[in-house]
Amino acid sequence: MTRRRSVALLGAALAAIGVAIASLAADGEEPRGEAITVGILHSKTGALAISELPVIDATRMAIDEINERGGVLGRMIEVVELDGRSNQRVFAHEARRLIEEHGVSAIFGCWTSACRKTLKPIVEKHRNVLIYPVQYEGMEQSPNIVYLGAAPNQQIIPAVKWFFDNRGRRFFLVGSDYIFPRVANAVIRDYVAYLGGRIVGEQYVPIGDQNFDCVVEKIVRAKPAVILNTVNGNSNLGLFDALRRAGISPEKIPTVSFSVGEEEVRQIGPEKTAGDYAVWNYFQSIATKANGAFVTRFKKRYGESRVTGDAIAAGYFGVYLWAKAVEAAATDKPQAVLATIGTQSFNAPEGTVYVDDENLHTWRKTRIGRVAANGQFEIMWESEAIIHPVPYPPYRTRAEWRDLLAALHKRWNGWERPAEAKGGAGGRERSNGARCRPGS
Amino acid sequence: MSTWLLAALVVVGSVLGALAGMYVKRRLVSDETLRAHHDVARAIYALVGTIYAVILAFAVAIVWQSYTAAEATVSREANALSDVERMSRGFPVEIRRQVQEAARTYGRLVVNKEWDAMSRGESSPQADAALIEMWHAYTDMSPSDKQNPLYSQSIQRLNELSDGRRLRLLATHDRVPLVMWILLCCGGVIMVVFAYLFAMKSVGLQSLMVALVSGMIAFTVFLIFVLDGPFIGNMKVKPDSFEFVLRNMENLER
Repeated sequence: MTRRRSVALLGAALAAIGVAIASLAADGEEPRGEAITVGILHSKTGALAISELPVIDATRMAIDEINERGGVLGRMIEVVELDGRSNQRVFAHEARRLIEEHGVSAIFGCWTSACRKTLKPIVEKHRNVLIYPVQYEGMEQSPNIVYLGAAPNQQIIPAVKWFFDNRGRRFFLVGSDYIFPRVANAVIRDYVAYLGGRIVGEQYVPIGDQNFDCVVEKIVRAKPAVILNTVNGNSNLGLFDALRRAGISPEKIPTVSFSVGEEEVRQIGPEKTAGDYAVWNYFQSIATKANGAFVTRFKKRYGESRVTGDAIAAGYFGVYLWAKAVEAAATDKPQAVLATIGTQSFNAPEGTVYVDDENLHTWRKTRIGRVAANGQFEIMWESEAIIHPVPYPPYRTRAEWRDLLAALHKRWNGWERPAEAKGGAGGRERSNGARCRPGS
Repeated sequence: MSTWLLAALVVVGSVLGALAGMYVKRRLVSDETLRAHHDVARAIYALVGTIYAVILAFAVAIVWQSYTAAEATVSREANALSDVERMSRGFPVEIRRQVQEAARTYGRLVVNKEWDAMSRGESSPQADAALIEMWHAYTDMSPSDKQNPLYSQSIQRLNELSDGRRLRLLATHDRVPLVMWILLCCGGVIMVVFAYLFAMKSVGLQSLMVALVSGMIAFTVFLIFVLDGPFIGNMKVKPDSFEFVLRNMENLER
């Protein structure tokens, strides 16, 4: 072997070692400059679009703000937006696509509990992250879901206590017939019994049903002190219309809604809801500088007639919490982000919100608002401090709560009430599922 | 850096500095000049030394007292937390679950979040919220549950827990004021410089005396420094008693 050949071989070997070292080093680093892809998965069409479209707007706004400031870890956030079409099968399919085809680092999405419960096994299997912006019934905890909305002890329980103390002991429960109202009302029943109050009626109507005449007739007969309303979506139009036609005013019997926010009041009409109450962690009317700036930015971007609300605010701050977790983890890999998100807090429009490192729910204040004539909420009560999210209310064991959910799942053969069981006017009693017959 | 290493560096540095000063003095000022003023220097040194000793002793006593008081406060608070949690077992199960959840959350947050925040003079709003939650579990009880003999004792312990928390957070602001630090440091330098004003035939003996005086003063001032702020630095009060209480709460239903 000549000397020249030996030198060439040695050079080639050194170059190979150099390339190997460089590639090993690159393995441990984040690819700077390459965009981070996240998914937005909400309903852009179908019955739920009306609620979910504003959340998409808020999520987009936060992402754009972060990108304008240089992104996360020096990388822009790129969005893949898919339509769940208000159908949990579509949600499941699109969630798989987001993870498997688009390789998203996180999914911001879902509205109903049925959707969240459908996506839970998918994000758990793929070890991805779902950031869920809506208040819910509790009884759930997943290492792959960050719950931004209120757990029962951050919305339902403080509200029942306040109305028990200030309005009376007789409660009438009315809700849409799906998971959230069924389980929320189970929590309410337990808590009212614990307080020494009384449930004087409990009625359910299928989602989308607008005929509440029979339900309202029962309310009139039962003479409750307060109506606790877990009706969702546009069914509220029918409920409030029927209440006013029956002469039930907020002064006589106030209605306390757990799913009616600024957007719904705008649709129902403030004239039909003024004087009634809603319970949320966030209201547009919160008088802080941060909220004023948030509302101004939202209106400037989407139009003066638009309103903000609890899920909108959550959709917004959820992006910031995730971005802070990415910064802390120094990577967008979902498992690493989940490991750091539990220690994050963010100065949100409503005040500082904190993620709980044990259950990945958020610590937020609870507020009770009364609908004013302009469609905004006058805040009547605010919790003394942020409230620790407790997904499993203390009135039953965790196993008992899980049994309740399992029973609903079994009865409905899924997380959504089957279509054939829906439909028809009037309501369903809790006990036997019998229809309420007008005039009966 | 460990406290012991830091202490050694401070003492050795001070001694070397003091000795360097002494050798400079020996070159600049003759022994005859110093001997001519020994009587006056001795009288003034005694006076200044006494004043400085009193101030130094006072400062050490205050920071030590503050440190031990903070330790006692933390123990009392942790005990009260444990008692509240234990007594909750005598109430109906829904109350027990609420109190236990809040108590465990409070302890966990104090250890994991508030302890670090206290070194910055801050507190944890989440820990505060968990304490409020515990209060709500008792104040929202039904009249019949309030008849439980454990109720008044629980409220008493809850008050002690709240007082303990308040005192602990107030203690994060217990610091030696700047003017006191100026007095301690300048006083120490003056004491060492005064030791130069005595002429001694033996350089070695004078070096030993200067080294002992400067070393002792430096170590005492360092002790005040590390004990200043009971929740700051390497010698800060540890959350051991809370950790002990938390370990005994681990049998809760999760």
